[in-house]
Amino acid sequence: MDRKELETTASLAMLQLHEDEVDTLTDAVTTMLDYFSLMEDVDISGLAPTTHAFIAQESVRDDIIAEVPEVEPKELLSRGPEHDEDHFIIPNVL
Amino acid sequence: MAIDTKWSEILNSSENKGAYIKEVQDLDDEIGAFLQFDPDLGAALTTGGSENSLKGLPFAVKDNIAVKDFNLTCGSKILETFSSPYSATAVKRLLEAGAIPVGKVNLDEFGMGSATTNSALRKTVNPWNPDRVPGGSSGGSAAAVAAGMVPFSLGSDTGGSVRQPANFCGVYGLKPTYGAVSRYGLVAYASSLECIGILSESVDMMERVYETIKGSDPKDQTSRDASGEIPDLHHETMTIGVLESTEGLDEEVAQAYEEAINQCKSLGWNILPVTIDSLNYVVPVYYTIAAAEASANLARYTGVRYGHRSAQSTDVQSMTRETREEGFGSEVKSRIILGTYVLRSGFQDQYYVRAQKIRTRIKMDLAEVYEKVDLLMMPVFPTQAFPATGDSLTPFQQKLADRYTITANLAGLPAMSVPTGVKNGLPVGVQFMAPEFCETHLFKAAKAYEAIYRPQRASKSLHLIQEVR
Repeated sequence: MDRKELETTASLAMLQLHEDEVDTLTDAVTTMLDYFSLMEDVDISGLAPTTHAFIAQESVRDDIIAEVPEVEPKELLSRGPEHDEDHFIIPNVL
Repeated sequence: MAIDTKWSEILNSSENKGAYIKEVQDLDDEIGAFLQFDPDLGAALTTGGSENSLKGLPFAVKDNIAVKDFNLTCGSKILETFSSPYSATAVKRLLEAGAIPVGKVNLDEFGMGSATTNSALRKTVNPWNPDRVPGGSSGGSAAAVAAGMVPFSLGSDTGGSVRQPANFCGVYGLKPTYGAVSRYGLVAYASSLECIGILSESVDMMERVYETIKGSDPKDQTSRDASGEIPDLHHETMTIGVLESTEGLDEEVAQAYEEAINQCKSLGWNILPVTIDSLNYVVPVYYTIAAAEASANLARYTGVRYGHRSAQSTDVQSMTRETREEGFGSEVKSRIILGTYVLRSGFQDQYYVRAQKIRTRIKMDLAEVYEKVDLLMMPVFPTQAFPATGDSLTPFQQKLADRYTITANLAGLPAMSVPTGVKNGLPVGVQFMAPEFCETHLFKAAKAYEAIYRPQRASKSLHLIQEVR
């Protein structure tokens, strides 16, 4: 992976990179991607992808309130960096 | 049980409790297992305990598992100031059984690492030798048990993060069947692979804790009860599959594996050498899937809802980018970038989808093996606890070394690391791996082995509780 590709990918991941870490990260990611090429040796024809360890039957229940949430919304809000009574506050978007 | 009585004597008298707190604090100045130690806060959360429960037993919780009102840092600067508004289901079940969470323990940031050296918040050393790492990512959980500060702890195992530190510190480590223990309250890293696991100083303690925390939970759709009957052993005598070839093991680890095979024979068990071809591909498959899932799961840290927000931000975009830059360590960043890359349009089939298909092959290979054997016995890690400094194992080599542990995560199977001895002053051990929901078979094997070798406590351990098990 070259530097430009790394920066594009980091940008997609909403990650600002600082100059002094770009080389180290490029090396680390490139080493892993090179190693991943080992997977090309495996014949995957006829194999379905496994998305989860076990595909359990669909987990459904009656559409009734089973449990009242133990945590008040205000309590959750209070753990964010900036908030008022009912909202998280973020910088202006306009 | 002697150990329960001893702990209840310690925690029920204010004088003994004071001595316990003081001794743990002093010892932990050297070991660095805890990120937060507050037995009184934990005691206030405990809700009950009947007979045969875990009443009065203290435990430590890896700091990526929620305990109400305790911090939940994940070993990361991004969550350094965050505390949890609720408790994980596994923790809640322990509280209902009367156990007391005494604190939160160190880990590699978000569970990403094999030595606890990726924690942004504290250094943890191995209680057997302060120049060695405790393993990771549940290094604090392992060190706290090995040092006798708690009889058990909770960890999480995404690719070996319970079994490997347990192995490095000479305690038992269980990664349950995927879904056997609810993940509600476990901070998400790689959702299709990770489980809450247990580290303990005895098999009996392990079994009691597992029986308490297991079972389906409406708050985790992937949690399940064992469906139907647990399969019986194939034969009256247990049949253990062992690897025909184990490349790349350090001499002590290879020796320990051979010795464990002989011990199994002496227990009257059948030994069947097996070959699992797909073992050669588990590492790239695992790191592709784990990084992909991590990149999605860690997208939630934007500086809006939790923990840290960059002071540099002028708009929402820069707030998100700068918060993540400042808050995440380099291993986390590299996995986020790797995961984002393998999921990018144009590369998905080459990496992510291919890895998922090989994962299917791995599961098929294992199912075939379990037609012939009851348990597989494998090494845990190719080395013993390695030095904290120097170039003994680079981050890339540490990832390659995960090959024996990650198989259980990819296939969702239960596995337990068992201490089998001490070599050169450091613990060695093996792991047993069972078909899904056959944890009882793991406990059976581990108990038989425990009768041959009873793990010692580490050289640095709590005086108050010494000689009591």
